[in-house]
Amino acid sequence: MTQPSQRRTTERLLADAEERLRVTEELPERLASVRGWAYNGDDTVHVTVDVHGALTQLRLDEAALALGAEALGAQIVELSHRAQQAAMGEGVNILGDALGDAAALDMMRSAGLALDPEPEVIPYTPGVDPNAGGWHVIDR
Amino acid sequence: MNQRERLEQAFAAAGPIVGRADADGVTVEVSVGGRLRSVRLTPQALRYGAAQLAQTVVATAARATAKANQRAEQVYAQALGGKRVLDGLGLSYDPALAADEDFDRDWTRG
Repeated sequence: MTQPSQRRTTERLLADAEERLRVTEELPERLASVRGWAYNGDDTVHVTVDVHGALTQLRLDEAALALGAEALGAQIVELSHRAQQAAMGEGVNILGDALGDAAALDMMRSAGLALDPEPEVIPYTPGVDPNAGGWHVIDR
Repeated sequence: MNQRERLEQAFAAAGPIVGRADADGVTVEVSVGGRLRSVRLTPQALRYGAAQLAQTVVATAARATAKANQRAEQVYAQALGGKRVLDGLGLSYDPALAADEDFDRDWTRG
């Protein structure tokens, strides 16, 4: 049995390039529609922002007023910054569709967004059981 | 000097761009694009109720953002010779919002 070829056909390459162009064209609109939101522990303040961090929606429960004027103002600002982090994460995903994953990862780094942590890799050492001590044999 | 250097110089000379607007005891300061720098509320602002306050904060932030974006537009135009670049960056603004007159508020509350 022969292995299917890993190389992309010309048709496939053209289709991929066209898809990239289409996605790039839609980029400004898609980015403009991205929203991130955050809310406080009591869920009395709910903030929605766009990728620039501009406030698009604010929901306040009457109970939020009990925070007092100063604390409530500070809470809105802080939540809006957290919401913007979420919006930027989504924005980078969209940019990745158009510009490729490498460019998206670069942007995440420069924007100070957290990358998904690498999975833990246990180095292989011959003769050493990496799970030693982690399990027990039931010996009857 | 290339375009990038001209822009950097223009923005350095302009200093930090902050848009600021206030209404009904709510003062909002934002950076270009609308990222909040501060939201200051007077105790009076809380008297109109949560829904009204939320609406005022959003509307005031929008006016502050329009002002910051308008200022950025001026700096860009100075550096690049009148080219409109903000639309391409998703930072367009409504000139009416950037105006200082609070034309739409006095008659709503009397």
